[in-house]
Amino acid sequence: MGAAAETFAEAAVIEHRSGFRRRWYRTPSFVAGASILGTIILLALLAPVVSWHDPVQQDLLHILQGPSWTHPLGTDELGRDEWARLLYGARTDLRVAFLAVLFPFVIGTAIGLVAGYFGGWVDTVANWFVNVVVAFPFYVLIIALVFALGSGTRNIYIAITIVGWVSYTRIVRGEVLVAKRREYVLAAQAGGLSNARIMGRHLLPNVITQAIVFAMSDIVLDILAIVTLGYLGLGVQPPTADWGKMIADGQTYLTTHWELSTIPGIAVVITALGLSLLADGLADLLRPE
Amino acid sequence: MTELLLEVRDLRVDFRLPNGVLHAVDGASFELRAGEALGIVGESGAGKTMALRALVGLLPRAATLAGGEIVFEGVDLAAAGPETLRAVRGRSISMIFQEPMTALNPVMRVGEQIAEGPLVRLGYSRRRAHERALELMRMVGIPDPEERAEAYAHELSGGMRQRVMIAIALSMEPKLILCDEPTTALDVTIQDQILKLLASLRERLQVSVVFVSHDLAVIAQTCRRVAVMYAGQVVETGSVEEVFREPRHPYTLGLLRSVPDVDDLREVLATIPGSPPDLASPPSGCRFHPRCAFAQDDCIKGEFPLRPLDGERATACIHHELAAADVRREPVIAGA
Amino acid sequence: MASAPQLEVRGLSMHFAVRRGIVRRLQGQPKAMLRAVDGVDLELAKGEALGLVGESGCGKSTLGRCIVGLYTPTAGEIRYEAETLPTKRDRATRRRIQMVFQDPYSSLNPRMTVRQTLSELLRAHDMVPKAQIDARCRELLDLVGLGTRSLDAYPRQFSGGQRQRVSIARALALEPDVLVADEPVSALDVSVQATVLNLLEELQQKLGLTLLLIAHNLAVVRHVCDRVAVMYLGRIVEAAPTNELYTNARHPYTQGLLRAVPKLVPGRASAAAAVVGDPPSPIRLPSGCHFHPRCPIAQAPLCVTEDPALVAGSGLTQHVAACHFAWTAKPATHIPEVAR
Repeated sequence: MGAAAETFAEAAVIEHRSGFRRRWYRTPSFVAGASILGTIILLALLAPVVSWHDPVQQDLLHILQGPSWTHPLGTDELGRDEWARLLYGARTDLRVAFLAVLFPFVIGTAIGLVAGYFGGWVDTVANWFVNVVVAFPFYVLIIALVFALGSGTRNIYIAITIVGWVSYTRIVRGEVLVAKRREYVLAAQAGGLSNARIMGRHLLPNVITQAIVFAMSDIVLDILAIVTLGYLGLGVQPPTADWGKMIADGQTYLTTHWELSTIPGIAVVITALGLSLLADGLADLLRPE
Repeated sequence: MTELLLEVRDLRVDFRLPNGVLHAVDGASFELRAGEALGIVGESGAGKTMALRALVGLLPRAATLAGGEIVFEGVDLAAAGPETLRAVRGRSISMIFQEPMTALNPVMRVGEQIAEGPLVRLGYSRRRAHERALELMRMVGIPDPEERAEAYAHELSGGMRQRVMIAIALSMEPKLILCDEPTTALDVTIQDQILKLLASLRERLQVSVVFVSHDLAVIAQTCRRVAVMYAGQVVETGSVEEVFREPRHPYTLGLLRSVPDVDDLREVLATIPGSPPDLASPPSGCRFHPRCAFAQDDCIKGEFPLRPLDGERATACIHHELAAADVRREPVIAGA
Repeated sequence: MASAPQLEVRGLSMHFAVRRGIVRRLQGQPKAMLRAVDGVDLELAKGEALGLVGESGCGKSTLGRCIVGLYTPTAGEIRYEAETLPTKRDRATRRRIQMVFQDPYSSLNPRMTVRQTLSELLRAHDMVPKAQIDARCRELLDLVGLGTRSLDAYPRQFSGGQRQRVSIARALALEPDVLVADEPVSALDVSVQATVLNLLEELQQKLGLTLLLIAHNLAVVRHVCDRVAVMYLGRIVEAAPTNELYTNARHPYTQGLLRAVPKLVPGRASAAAAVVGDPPSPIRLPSGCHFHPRCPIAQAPLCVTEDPALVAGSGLTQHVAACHFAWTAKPATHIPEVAR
């Protein structure tokens, strides 16, 4: 018969359980994460409206100034407006990070799904590739690839995709190995449904939750990777605003104008925090029961 | 008549849900004499497991003892502090659970687990505790105890693990053993072995047993008295012989009629219409009335505690003669 | 049997290779095989209800899944309407044999409504024209006693018994000839079991289904089935019409099983256990008759060396038992007959 908790799952009227739509506002981590992230995204989108300086416009007569009416966060070492650079940097970094997660997510999930479902040599081959990539530390491999391919956003996508698909494959494959033994999958097979249909309609929606949650934290990792690449001069090219480059550039002035590095640093932390909270909240909400 | 070992009066257990309170046990009363076997039967959600766990304070975190008395050997355990409960638990009252795999420690050898009680709580020496463990293993019918004592739980079969659990329960020489569906997860032939083992141990050691199960036939075979639970309350008590032959509550009758029995003479299984009530907001009056074939107007309002009938019997139904008449017309159990 | 059986299983075996640790592999020890099903012959006539009973590990679920085509058997064949079924079944063949599963909590896709679950199958097999799919879904739910409000509900909104009904509706959506029910009521409450069993019985008669009911509870099977087969460690040890099996069981295991079932009549059990010992591991099966280590009438050297075949009693062609002493040893406790 089941554990005590299941006993009450039976006795209590089952309609008490609500779907995603009714529960999201009651999950604090989701609300907090969504709020933080939403604010950042909003500011980034409204950058041209909320800031009034061109982020790449240099003004060598007014370098390293403190906060003022015209420059709310001051200027950097080339006279560029910090506030504008922060917002445009958000645009750049968020866009790149989001896209950089999308490709590995799609590719990795697909491979994991197929490998887990069919097993056999398909699985063996996929696992072999996974093991090869996993043998290298994440950041080292990315940096090496970007170094080899040359800097620039397109190569960042390529490098992150080559390295990043692995995590999704492992997660999804693991979930599929368990889910494919569930009776509703067996019922679908007994019902003569095609493998494609079973994988897409019966397995995918039930295994993708973990991958989505991981994707949130993966965005954080990718932002850090992009920031690191920017810091090393390998990432987004100047004069485009990028938090990593801002941190690197401000390093020289750490003792006198510490805010040049610290402010973009804080921006990274807050974004990462928002994403983590969102991931937590999603993990809670996406469970079907 | 032997004196009462355990007397439970109006037990209440509340379960905290994210959106309200569930009255898992809502006024259950039953009693047990020394050396007796009492069965508590009910379906899932009836509250029988919660009632059992409440006896020794082993409720899950979301559940609280909300009222009632649990008088064991003259002491009210419901009002007792945690030290009293801990002293009683495992010593005078021990418990056997349904899933031996989760109730046994997976990284400790079974012999050690059986010896643990005497070693730690009775102050036995290591050697004496080990001998006691072997003795207990022999008592519960585990072959080659010296060898088996070195095994880990996962190396044993389900039946063996259950025997180990029984040995642990007996190791402190308890007066009362609480059994929470101990054979539900076992195969029929193994269940048979374990039930017969429990019966012989009970006779030999004169220990009392409260046996919770959803299986009426198991209760019929193991216990002398029975309490039937529905929606958090005890609705009927009495000797198994009387209650099963002539139930005096429509729920008991419905349950008996719906059980497929190997000995059975019936062609079609009867069913109880509807489904068990939501314990967060149970129906007014008698909890069973929405599903009852004999419900009358006076069943819809009021409280229906257990009322004693003649002898040991008690029922919560005020129209119990209707159920009795129905079963006389069409018996569930044939023969005298 | 006058006509050929609708479903026939011959010499079916399902062996699973057991992973050996690296030490054993290096030692060159042969692969251990888990013989879940070990040479089973079975026949089902059209419209018949056959009960398949056994304890855990006897292979009944595996056998059921082989019949439905979820596993590819290691050996033997399955014949449907006199034609051997290929290992890869096409859609039309799969329609014919459907299954109801045991666990109501994992047999329905939690992210699909009842409507979606049913219509998916109806569409895949073109059961009805598109315009009539909705109506057909309602009909199917009506057949199992669920209201149309259930159509757009998710599985989590149902109780165990209701979920099983949805499972049955799903199995019937493809209008199969054979329904394999794998322990359909084991996970349900007592009073709910009765509802589902009555439903199965009613549907079987109404639709003329051939039913294979797999259960570990002998009582359940008695109410629904015309014939019962008993399995032990991958083999059928006895098969007979229901009444005959319960009143004149010939295999010591069946006799023990019947004695072991607790009876509702209080206090009738004897003190001795019905069957002693634990079932052996299916990886290391005993020699000769698989039951001999636990058998009360086993005799060396016969039972230890020779594997008994399923043999019918003289004059009782419908009743077969796999025991050297099936037709010579005396039967044990009698169970009164159900009027049929």
